[in-house]
Amino acid sequence: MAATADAGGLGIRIAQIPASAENTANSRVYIVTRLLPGTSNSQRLEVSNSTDQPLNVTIYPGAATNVGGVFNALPIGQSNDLTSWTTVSPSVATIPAHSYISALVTIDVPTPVTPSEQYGVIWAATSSAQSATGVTSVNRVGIRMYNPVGDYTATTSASLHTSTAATTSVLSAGADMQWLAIAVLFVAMGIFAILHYRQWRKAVLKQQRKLLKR
Amino acid sequence: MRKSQRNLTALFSAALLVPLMVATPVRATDVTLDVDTPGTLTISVPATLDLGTAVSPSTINVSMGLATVTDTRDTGTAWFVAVIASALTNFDPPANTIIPTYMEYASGAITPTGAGSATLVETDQSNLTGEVPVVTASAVTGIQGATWTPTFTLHIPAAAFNGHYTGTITQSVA
Repeated sequence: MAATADAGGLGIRIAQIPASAENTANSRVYIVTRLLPGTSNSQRLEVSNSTDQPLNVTIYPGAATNVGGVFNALPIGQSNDLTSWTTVSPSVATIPAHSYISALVTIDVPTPVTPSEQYGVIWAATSSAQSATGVTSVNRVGIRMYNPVGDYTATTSASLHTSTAATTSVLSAGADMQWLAIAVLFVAMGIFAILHYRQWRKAVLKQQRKLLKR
Repeated sequence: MRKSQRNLTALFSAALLVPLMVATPVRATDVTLDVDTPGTLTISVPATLDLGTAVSPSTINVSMGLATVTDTRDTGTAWFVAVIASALTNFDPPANTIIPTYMEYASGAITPTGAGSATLVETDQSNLTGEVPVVTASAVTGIQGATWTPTFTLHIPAAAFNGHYTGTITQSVA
């Protein structure tokens, strides 16, 4: 191996992960949060400039595919569900030399959604000055996104292999079962309260009658 | 009678509460954890690409300058570099475009960097219409990276008009 060559450049890394994704494989290098319908999922990235000059950067989500375990970015301008749910702030920045900025990635998941696995990349891009002949050269560095949506179950998210199970049913929420459990609990509490209220009321009335007799 | 009314009221209140709870949107309040691993994936800043002046039909070969990828994540995760080009457009009348099927990207020799290791594979591309892979790193261990000096080739078709063409060439690593 040759010695490390580090002329500086545009870098990116995961700086913060949701606690729910802490134990998910690759959560420290990719965005892998499970996206439940109606949730807002945020995490911070760090975009760095290790050159001697300030860098003007744009930061944005791009669509991607994962076919046969091969991850591919899609051309700029193409979108998928994941990119339509994703915003990055700031989307434009100037990073001073040998410095970095934080970028907050937020994925707002609508409801209902179809369980699936969605792929994308958060890109940080910087351009050369336009040449005399009008050609612009752009370099981008990205964080991949492998996001299971809803109650999608496959081994792909963690292992980054091709998904085999594609559920087609539309669920309003993967967390619906949790809400159902809460609803049942509230009904049970209501019935319990009503029954006990009757007993308590009987006891109070009995006491009042006794007092009146005296 | 009053008692049963009260009981019914309580029951209906409880019943109303349930759908209200279910209908409440789930907004994430997930705790986030700061990641203390400092590793980053880095790409060099692009050099200005000057295609110069040429006549049609002809072929232009231009060096794109040194491209460097440095991966200090140390997580054993693979990375790839893909390239895409827009059409070169001449806005001077008569307007004309040279589509990316006339463009090529050749990585040339790839030099591995860093103390780690990776299996580096370069793939020359003769059509830059889509995001096409040009360098892939697999079987990655430790801190590593690669440098190369790609060549961009433009085949100017005979049908191209004289003019000042503009466009964008993008190299991406993820």
